[in-house]
Amino acid sequence: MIQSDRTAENAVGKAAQNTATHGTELRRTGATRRFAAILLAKQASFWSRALGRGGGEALPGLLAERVAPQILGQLAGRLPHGSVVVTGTNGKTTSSLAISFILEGAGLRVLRNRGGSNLSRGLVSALVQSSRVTRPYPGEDIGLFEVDEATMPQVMQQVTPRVILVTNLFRDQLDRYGEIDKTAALIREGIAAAPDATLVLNADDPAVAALGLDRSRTLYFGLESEEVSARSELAIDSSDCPRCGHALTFHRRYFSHIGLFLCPACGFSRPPCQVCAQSVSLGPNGLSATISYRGRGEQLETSLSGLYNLYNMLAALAVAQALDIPAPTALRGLAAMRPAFGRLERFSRNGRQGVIHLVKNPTGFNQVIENVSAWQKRPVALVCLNDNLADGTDISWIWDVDFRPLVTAFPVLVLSGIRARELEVRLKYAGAGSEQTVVEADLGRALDQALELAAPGESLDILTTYTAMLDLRARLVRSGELREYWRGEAIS
Amino acid sequence: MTQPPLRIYHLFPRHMNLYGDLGNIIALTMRLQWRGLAFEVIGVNPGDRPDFGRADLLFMGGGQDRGQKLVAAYLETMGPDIRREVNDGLPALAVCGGYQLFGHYFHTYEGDTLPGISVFDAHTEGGSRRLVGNMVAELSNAAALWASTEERAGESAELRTLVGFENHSGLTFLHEGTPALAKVLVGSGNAGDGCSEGALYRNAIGTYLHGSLLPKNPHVADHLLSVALRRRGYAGLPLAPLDDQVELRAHAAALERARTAHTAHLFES
Repeated sequence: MIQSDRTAENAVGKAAQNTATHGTELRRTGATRRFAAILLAKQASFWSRALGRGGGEALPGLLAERVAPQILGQLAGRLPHGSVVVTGTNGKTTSSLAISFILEGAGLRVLRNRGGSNLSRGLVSALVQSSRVTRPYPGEDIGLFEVDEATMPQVMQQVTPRVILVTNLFRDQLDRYGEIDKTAALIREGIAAAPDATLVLNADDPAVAALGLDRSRTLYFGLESEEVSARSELAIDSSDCPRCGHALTFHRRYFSHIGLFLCPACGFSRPPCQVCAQSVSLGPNGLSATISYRGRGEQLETSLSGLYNLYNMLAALAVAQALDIPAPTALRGLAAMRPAFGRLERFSRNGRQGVIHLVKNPTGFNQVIENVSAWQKRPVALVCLNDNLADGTDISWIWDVDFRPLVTAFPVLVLSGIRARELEVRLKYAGAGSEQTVVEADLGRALDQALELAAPGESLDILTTYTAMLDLRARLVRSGELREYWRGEAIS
Repeated sequence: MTQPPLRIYHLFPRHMNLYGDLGNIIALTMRLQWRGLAFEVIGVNPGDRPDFGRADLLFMGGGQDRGQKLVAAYLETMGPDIRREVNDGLPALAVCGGYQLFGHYFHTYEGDTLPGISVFDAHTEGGSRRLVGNMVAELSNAAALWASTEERAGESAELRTLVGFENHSGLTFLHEGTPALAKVLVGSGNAGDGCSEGALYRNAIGTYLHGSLLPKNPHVADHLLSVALRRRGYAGLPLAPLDDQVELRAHAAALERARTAHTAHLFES
């Protein structure tokens, strides 16, 4: 579906490009089209919210693109400070949020696409919502766009960013995009369209680091720590050299295929990095690290926990360095940051605190498990697995997740979601006893049950796939325990 | 009396491990462990020269196109040894990309021809679209013969269905010498036409079903283990039954999901 859609949009876009060269008459038609597109999208956005169909992130963009196929490039091109594009498998949303806090702290008004709407229509929606019919361009200073990996070629036909951040490349939603090599090829195709942009790359991810070969403007971020090393051998997604295909060796592996790598055949190795974390301390309620930023050592403190969030913070700092933002401004931005949608969001009920952890793929799941299992013992955790389109309809990836630390850490695991029964088998084969797992397919009842099992004053970790997270959030918003996302987040 | 460990040869675990294939190894080894039987998993990687005469069970999963292309040449050199042992009754499970390479050849959509090892009298042609979704298949008569009395290991041995997920663009065509493993009830199967699924030759099973296959199809796992143990002269057959309630519930849930998911996704998109 996505494939054919993209081809159709490309075809429309190319046709429009050809027509646009024919003179002012048609260019005026272009302006009229843009005007009509903005008007239409605004109405769609109003109605989709009024009818309670969520934040209206996709439909307005979809309509606007149909009316004015070049609208993405036209509107993005009007942002005075240009734009930053964020792509990669994991950490797009959290690192974008971190970047937006930094940019806002630097006095810039930031335009973002939100709520995981990272196909081109999501970007267009954000742009048209910020534009007015009387002022047909966005009112912000700089654009910050999360872009789905597979959409990179299409988006980059129209948007010419100053900075492109690639966070990492893991296996994700296999039934939609196929395989990690193909994803890397799509990103490569996208960035080739912007030869002047600064590439901000994860030095510790071989497939991402390789994107910087043959590029002049690159900035690498990474970790050089003696305190951190991988526990699990599972979910190593990319163990071959992206340049020559030989098996890589790791001097140090932090998690999955992230670490200090070297190809013994062709010599491709983990590049030196400009934004680098050296001394790392991970805790249940946050993390701290010493980070080299613009050649100086700085102290990072954040309330986000988990090694994966350190990478998100490093990515944000590297983008800040690419934009010449001074260290105090960048670090203040990170300290002020609140969690992203469904990522370490917290709520409380009857003296218990719930913490939502979104899980999308084996590496992300392993990282969350490592994070929630590492600290003091708690009585219960809730794990939810759905297999709707946005979760990935193929659930086989849970067999690449190492659940053993979770089984060791929690005496009771409440399992829910459409595929709760598959989770039950998975946990049995990870060593869970027959009394240790409780299946309650209904998400609301599972949440109630898990919260009751948590002792007052304790926290309940909720590990959930995307659509189960949306469902749980919606319930919590209805009961007033969580704020609604698109209303709570200021769209300036 | 201590049995020497059952040796499971895992073919190309680094390159052919795309869709939770490790779950199959986990299922085999846990089901041995729960019965107090020793095992050893030996990874076979490019460049290795394994002695297949020592293997008790073979497993090969699916991979990315690049991985599959890379291992095909290495697998080809092992072909004669593997064929000899399979002809001698060695049980094997080949899933997706592994299944394709267990046929005569895979002619890809891009025009490459990957050599196969002809365990199955079958070949695969690359197709233009991916066949993706939950699948249910019913074991064919040939496959149903497994559940000979000496293999009956509890309630799950009664299962006649296979549940899992398929994701392939290659279309596999079976020739005369190899019967199908199962008949498709929900999904696309071998040639994408909703008819046959998988292949069975002696004790070698090929299939497009991942998910992982063995944890929620414990009858297949126990069949492979029974055959492997019988070939080794293990005296404790039939296998001690395990409490498979959890597996049977997952099997039933996957069956139900396959029947409803298609319509559900139409509404969702």
